[in-house]
Amino acid sequence: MKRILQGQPIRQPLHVLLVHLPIGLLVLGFIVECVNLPKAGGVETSGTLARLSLYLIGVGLIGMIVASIPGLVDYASIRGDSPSKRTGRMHLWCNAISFGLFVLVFFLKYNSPDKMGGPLIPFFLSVFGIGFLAYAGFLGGKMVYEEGVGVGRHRRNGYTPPNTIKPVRREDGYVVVAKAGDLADRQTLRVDINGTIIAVAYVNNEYYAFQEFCTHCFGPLSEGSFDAGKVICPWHRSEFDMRTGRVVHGPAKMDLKTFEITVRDGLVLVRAPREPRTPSEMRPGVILETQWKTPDEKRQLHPSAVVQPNKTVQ
Amino acid sequence: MIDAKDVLQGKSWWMGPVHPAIIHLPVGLWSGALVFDIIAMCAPGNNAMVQAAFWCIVGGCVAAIIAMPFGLADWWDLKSFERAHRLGLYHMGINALALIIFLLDFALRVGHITTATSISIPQLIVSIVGNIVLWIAVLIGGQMVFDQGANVGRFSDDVWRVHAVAGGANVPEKE
Repeated sequence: MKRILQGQPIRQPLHVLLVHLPIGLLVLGFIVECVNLPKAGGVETSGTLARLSLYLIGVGLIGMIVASIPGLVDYASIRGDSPSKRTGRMHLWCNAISFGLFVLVFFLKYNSPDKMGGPLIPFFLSVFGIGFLAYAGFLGGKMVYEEGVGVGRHRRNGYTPPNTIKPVRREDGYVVVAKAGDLADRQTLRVDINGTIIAVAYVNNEYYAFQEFCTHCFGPLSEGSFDAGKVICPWHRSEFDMRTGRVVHGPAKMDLKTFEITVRDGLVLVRAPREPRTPSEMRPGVILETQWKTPDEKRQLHPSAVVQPNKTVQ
Repeated sequence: MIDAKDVLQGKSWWMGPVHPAIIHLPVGLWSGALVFDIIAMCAPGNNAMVQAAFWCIVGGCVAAIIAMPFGLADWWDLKSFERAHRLGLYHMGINALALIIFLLDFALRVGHITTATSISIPQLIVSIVGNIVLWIAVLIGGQMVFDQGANVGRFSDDVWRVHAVAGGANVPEKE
């Protein structure tokens, strides 16, 4: 169900296809109202025009409800600490406000469709409604084109890391990212070690750790797909060898940084890339906390994998 | 000097692709025209419903023509993305066909729009065919963005570079 709502079969988010209808109709409904406005003096009320905008807004509102369902599913799958989560929340609120305003307009018109010329209230309400709708649309575009939400997601079955984990560096220079055996095949983790952001992938019983940002346009490799030891960027399909970091296929030209990753004492360890430089980089407390949720089986990290704060971090 | 292509691509004034923002209108309106056609078919006798479909077609044609140069400008810079470039060619051709079909639809309706109270079968068929053609083009357009990454990350270099550099990652040269 989630797969269909996210648009896996059509290889693009369903929400994006469904929003055309409400946006188009509400904008035209607004234009019709503007055309109708000069007749607002009451000299000539145009019943047809008023009905026209009533129909346009009515169908547009239904379209909004339909489009909101896959939209919410998409929102739920955005990584929790991604800037897109905020953008998505704003997008949701703006659309909700716009929806509320147009519902008001609809009922004001519905009560008197034939003499809509009179009150200016519905017109002003729909000015704000269009404003919020336009801003929501702008935020939607920002999520796709700046933040890459939903781009290439169908290639990896929709599962993306739900959060960035922030493990603390141990005294031996390693950080614990997971308990061995807790990761499902092709599962990835997004790990932040003192500001260095690393993608950890578990593919075909092998662990890999490499830099999160693609060297082409900074696409998130923790949301990439895999093919025979290669990671494929979700955005423009640059391919990298996960072990060496080498570019196998462009558009990227520069190799990835890779990191040493080993399994020891039942824990998956990544070599911390460097010493913490400033006191603020030495985060205290228990940090390792993955909330990976697979729909069929709730895989969670074993509590013993949670790293205790180091006695002394230098 | 102002480069027309840069303006159409939304560089510096919008900082995002313009074509996808505009095409909500033709896609939404032409789909809406079919919705109103079907309502008018099911419940004839309402001139306003026939007019709703008609004005949707008109609005869709106008907006589609406006969206064209923006799409062309975006496509112009896709040459390095071979597959997206080819998809763009299909997208362009099929959309042109959709525009022609809806112009025909317009011609079928324009004469008796103030009096008609029902949709004729030929008008409905043209609307359906137009929508099928349109949605093929829309899906191809969606593939270009969500599968091939056309325009994705084009304007967000500064947004992400900061994080990548702060973490010591390998980063591409700044353009």
